[in-house]
Amino acid sequence: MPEDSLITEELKQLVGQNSETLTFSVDKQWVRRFAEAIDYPEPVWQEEYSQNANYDGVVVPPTFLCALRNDNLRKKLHDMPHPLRTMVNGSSELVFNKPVRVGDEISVTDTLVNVTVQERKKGKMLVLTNQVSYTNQHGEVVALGHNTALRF
Amino acid sequence: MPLQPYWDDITEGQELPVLVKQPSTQQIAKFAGASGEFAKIHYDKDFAINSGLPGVIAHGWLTFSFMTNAVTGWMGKQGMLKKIGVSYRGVHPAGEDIYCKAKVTKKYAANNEHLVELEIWTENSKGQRTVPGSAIVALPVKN
Repeated sequence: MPEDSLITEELKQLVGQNSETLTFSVDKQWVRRFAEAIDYPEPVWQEEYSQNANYDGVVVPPTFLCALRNDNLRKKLHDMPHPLRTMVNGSSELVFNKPVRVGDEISVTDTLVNVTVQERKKGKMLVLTNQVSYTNQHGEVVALGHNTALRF
Repeated sequence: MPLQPYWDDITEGQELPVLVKQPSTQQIAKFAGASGEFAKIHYDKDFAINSGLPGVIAHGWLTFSFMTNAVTGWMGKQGMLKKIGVSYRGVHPAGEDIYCKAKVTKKYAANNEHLVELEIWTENSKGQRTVPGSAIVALPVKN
């Protein structure tokens, strides 16, 4: 299958575009539930714990950010007509600038930054790279996510 | 509670304590609820098997979370996770062991921070590397 039939016009037009931004309230019970689901070793969602540990406010487990899901871009990609139908996560990365705390309002924007075609044993594979920005209520970018999705 | 590691004491090649996890279908379901990731391969056994998998599998982000726990649990309260990333090369079926391993690859100072770079990875019970990655943490220094 030639490359340009995989990197469709519709896909090209999505590259560089920001998704609609979604804003989430970082709720204590939600953080607790997430921390319990991943067996997070410390009760970081408890004020008493954070004070004793000298944290400046109640922080969240680092991967809690994945729960702040902005699926707008993902849904667009999923619904787009394309010859390759299977889509799986290829990689995930989080870069932290500031701690995320219970009570924060985090705005999440997802951007498709790059689309490439790679050869694999069973044929060609599309690699979709996106960047997710997490911005708090003070306008500070607290973290960036870099993910790839594989389509084959 | 493990002792706080100090940057001064870290040596390149040093290995971190191994964290062994064995996510049950219940834990995977709890993670689906808490994260909002409801792909069927994580809770519908028939669907997973029809998709060519041995059964329901742990979410990539659940495995990534375990790997993060191995790092944050080691770096202590004065440690700061700066960056962590992984590639999903293999899957982890429910009920099977996941070994979360890590090793120091580099120790350096930059921008007034004392940093340690880690190679992180998971192995399944057959010893196959399933999810390789890396992390950077800042550690405190002794006075």
